[in-house]
Amino acid sequence: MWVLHLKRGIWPIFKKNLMGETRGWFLELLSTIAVPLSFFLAFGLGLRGDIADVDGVPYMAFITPGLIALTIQLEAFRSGSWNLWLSIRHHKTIDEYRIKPISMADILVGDVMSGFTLAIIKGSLVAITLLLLSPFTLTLPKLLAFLAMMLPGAVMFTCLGAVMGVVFRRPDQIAQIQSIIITPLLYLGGLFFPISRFPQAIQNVLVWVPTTAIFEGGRQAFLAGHCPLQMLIGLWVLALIAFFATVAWCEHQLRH
Amino acid sequence: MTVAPEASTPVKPYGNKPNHDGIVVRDLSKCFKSGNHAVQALSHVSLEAYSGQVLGILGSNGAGKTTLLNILTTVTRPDAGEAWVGGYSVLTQAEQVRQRLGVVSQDDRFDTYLTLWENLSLHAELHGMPKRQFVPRIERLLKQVDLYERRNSYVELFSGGMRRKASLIRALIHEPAILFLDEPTTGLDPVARRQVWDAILSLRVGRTLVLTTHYMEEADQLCDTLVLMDKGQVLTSGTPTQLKQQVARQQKAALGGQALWQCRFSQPVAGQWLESLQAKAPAGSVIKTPKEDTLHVMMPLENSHWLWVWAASLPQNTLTAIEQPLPSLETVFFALVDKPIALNEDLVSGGLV
Repeated sequence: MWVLHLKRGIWPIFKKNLMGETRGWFLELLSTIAVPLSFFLAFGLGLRGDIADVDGVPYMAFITPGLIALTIQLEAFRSGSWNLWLSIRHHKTIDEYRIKPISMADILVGDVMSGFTLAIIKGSLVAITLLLLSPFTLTLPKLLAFLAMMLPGAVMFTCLGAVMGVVFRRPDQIAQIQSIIITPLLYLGGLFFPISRFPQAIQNVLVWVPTTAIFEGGRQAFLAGHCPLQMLIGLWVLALIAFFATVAWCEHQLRH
Repeated sequence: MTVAPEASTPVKPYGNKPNHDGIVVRDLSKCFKSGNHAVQALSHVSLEAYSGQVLGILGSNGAGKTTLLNILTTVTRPDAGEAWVGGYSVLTQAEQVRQRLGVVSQDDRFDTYLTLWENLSLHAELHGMPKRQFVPRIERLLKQVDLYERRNSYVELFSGGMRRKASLIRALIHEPAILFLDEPTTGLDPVARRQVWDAILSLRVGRTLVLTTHYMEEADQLCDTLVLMDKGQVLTSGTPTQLKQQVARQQKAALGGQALWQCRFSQPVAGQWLESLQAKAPAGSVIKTPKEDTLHVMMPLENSHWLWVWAASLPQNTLTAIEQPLPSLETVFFALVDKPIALNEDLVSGGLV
């Protein structure tokens, strides 16, 4: 019971972040779908005849899980960073929450949880849209396996965003980090083609990057319905470490 | 209501726990360090405020008011000293302290993408209030300040006055015993300011209110006790009248045996009264009329009886009072915080100095 008492701040913070996202939901929906849909139309349909099947998989089916994964990870980073940045630097509501009888950990856990939940919701919207346009059928086992691979990635990217939201004072710094680190991480992780197409030296580096596991593992789950166990365990271990480390670090930073 | 402590009374040395549920601050110090640079934000600050009392904290920017408020609201930990809020220690019982306090901040920190109702509900939930308890309470508070019709509007569309009222409601949802008001009327128009003043005065019953402000008139009107801070230290404390008397005594000494008298009339001062006073007053007296129904007379203290001789010669019911005017709170502030301006502004504005 005491745990519930101590953690009573998580749900209200989680809920208000989700409520904030429902404002202007139509534009939010369009902006979420626009980029992956453009890629899907350009590469999946536009270049369909020019791009051969990849490892026996039609290219349209090949890039679909990657585009969903891209949406989830980008959205996770965006939510994680902006939720905290706005609360700390712009609205300054974090100062208001800090004088409530809840812990700082409650606030941070609520923020991070809402970040990856929103990312999964938006990824689902993109998935529905792309599946409507493609002949691919997603069965329940495939969906569950795919989610098992996506969720730890979303947690990690939300945590990375949260750290950026605490560290940076200016909004353009977050945008710069997104361009310099996040986008390359995502685009080189096997989004548009398998990493086996890279020279061996680059492959040796990329196999250690979590985004590779997210895209490669996610694609296997999405297309074949099974998760590569090593990748799955690795991602979940990293996600849990990232979650607890982020909450502890951000709490320390905000207290001092 | 408990009587405020005397101006110069040192804070009583308590044991481990204070003997009342207001605010007790004992010997607080806080230093902020950044690299080789250190700023002593608070230095051995002690004060107290009782239930039913409005404590005003005055000071220039950088005086340490915000640091003190942050410590009392458990946001910042002091380096030394102790403070109790609502009977609980800010160091060891932060959660109990937060349960009992409400804060109206000067910058109206709202989630502007939420409606007013959503914002207020969020904060009630953060206080652990069940819905059946906070819904009727928020409704009642909103109706009291005429914001009920705007409950479903986004806060970003609110004017400054509306936001301040909303802040006040948010701070009151959980019925706190201690209410901190950080410059609550800054940036408000006179009507909104008066509304906030009325609200503050109505809230004092059964509560301890702590008010920081730059407006001396506001402090004079609202506060039972004032604490003047400068460079992280408490310069003095007491009721507004006590502080004025303290400065009046300093001014008297500065005037070197001269006394300033203020004569107030029920009608404009007639020319012949002024002439008769000038004729009777001892040599060296200075007479001015700062207002049409007020006379200021400065004369040697030992010759002041001449004033009463002259008063007796006036028509009945024209002279309503002869008094030694107390300086305004602004004068007190300048006298105690900015040492160079140490004289009653009434003397200066009246041309007597």
